Amino acid sequence: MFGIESLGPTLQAAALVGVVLVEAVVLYVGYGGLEAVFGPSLKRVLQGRCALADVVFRRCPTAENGGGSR
Amino acid sequence: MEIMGVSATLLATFAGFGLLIGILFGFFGMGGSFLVTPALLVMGYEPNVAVGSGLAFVFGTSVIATLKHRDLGQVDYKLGLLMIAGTTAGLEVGKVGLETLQHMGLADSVVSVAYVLLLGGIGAFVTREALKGDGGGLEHDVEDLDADEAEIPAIAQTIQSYRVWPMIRLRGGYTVSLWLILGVAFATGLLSGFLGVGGGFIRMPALFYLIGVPVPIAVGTDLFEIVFSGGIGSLLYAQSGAVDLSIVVPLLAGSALGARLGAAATALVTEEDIKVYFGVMLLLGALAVAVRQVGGALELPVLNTVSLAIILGAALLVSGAVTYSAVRELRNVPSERAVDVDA
Repeated sequence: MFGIESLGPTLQAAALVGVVLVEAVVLYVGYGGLEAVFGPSLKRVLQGRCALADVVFRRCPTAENGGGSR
Repeated sequence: MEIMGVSATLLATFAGFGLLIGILFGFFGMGGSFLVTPALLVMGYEPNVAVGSGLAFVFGTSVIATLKHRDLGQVDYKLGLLMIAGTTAGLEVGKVGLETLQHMGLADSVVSVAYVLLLGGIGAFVTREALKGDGGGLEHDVEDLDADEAEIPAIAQTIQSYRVWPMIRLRGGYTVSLWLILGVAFATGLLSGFLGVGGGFIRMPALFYLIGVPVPIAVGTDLFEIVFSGGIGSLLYAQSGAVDLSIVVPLLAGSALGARLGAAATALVTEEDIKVYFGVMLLLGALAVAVRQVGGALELPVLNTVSLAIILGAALLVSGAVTYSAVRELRNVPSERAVDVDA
């Protein structure tokens, strides 16, 4: 997997740990981006301030205090 | 269907399992190898692959959870580095003790009994302390945390009262003797080296109850320490080819999401709730180890499966409770605001 089998044992071990580290950082940044984009909407759904369908169809107000619909 | 030579179903199973573990890991700063290694063993992987892949997974998850806790201001780097120094020394001494027991042929039974007593003892203590609390708890907003307001356990207050030079100033504004930090770190390292475990379940309560570190910072600092221990451990196992990326990659993908949710939940759920969940998790862990030990003694393999079912059930139960509490707290926010407006 990931083409690191051809390396020597020590280099292969370092490469394996490196792959895990890179994956961890990529996942952190990737999920962080998703959280930034979808987090506020998901939070409003969980708080019961919007229905999931409203968020999907962008009918949920984005202002912190509930926006115009309040 | 196969992805990179691995069954898609297996990858999805690992990712789902990772999500569950990630919630616990992000919330408590422990639970990775404790859950992954037994599950991999039951799935038929070789013990060295189960341990090595478990360690690599713990390393990746702790990197992600530490980054998240750092964003929330919940990592004390100075304390973490001091703990690493003390723990490393303790681990070496613990390993020597374990090897001595192995030569005497007593390692398995002594370690299992010690593991059950320690896990059960800490679990019972934490649960009792949490249940006898006033129920008010503390919010996990560390930015607003004031050391004077923080609920420092009596044992930690006594330890903090020994002012042996040099004194170290920790996050939260209180000072503790360097020797006491190193002593606690050495003792936790000694236990984890002796028991052959990562030690998160020992270090997290030790940081809180013995040094007086607030729970969120104890969790963040513990995770910071696990980055180093997990990294070194997985490197050692990878050298003998015992790290399987087809296990680690999907597990990590699921746990990264779970760790994010778990770490975010620490900012919502009250400290008393965290302690109760942590205590219950440890008690069920102790029960699982005891059942497995009884299964080994009576030569009843079915008890190994029961043990795994208890561990997985505990993980599902506690991660579900954490998620439920966090969502309940989120739902309380708008209603409290509405009351304020009405008033």
